[in-house]
Amino acid sequence: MTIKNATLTAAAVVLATGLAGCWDATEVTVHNPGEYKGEADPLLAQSASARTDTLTKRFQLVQADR
Amino acid sequence: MARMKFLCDAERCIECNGCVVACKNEHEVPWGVNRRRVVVLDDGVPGEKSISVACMHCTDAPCAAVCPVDCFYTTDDGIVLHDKDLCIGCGYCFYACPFGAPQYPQKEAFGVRGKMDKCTFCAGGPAADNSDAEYEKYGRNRIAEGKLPLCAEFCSTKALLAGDGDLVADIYRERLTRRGGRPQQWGWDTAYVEKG
Repeated sequence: MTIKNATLTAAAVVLATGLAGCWDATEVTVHNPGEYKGEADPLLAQSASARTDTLTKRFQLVQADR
Repeated sequence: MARMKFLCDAERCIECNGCVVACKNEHEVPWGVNRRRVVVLDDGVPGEKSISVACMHCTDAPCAAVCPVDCFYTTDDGIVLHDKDLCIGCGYCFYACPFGAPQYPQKEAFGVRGKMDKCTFCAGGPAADNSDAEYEKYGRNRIAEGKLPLCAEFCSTKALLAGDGDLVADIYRERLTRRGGRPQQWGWDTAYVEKG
């Protein structure tokens, strides 16, 4: 192997290593919980969208910056 | 669909612990259990920051993933709750939680733990809304009353925000835009820039 080939190989290894360091897994690990086995919550019987308006108004009234 | 979230603005939190007091008083939380607490970073150093921490009602809640008796559930709007009748106080959720939210009352001598207690986003638990049973186990159910968590409503500097994540994000984004500059900036003018 000539010096030129060795240099190119070393450069390729360095480049590959450097680029590998830039890679990041984008997959999100979702831990699926088991099925809830407790009593039913009356809050679950209501639709969340039904209380969204009320809670949004409350948020604007109490917490929004003025 | 709304997704309920807490956010604590570290530039505004003045470590008054009003949120902690409000929570303990509203839900009659027993001694030794802190559903919410204020953490100070770099205490005493110029630029110190305080943040109020409780259950963050994670979208992918690790407490629910590790619970051996499956006592956790999530409401449609993202509030993570649990059933104390099922809980065995094993402490797995405490180890899994990155915020140290689960708390355990000391029930007997020798450190025997009671059932897990945590922030409910003031949404009570699996019992009739605002019944005595619900109040005793989980505290007041303000969500059923059309109100938001008292800790955030009580916050005098509006550092702690609680509500639909989109609304909370809008407020925080607007604050950051008004502040500008580097995140390392600190001081009164940083936190309370007047609206233009």
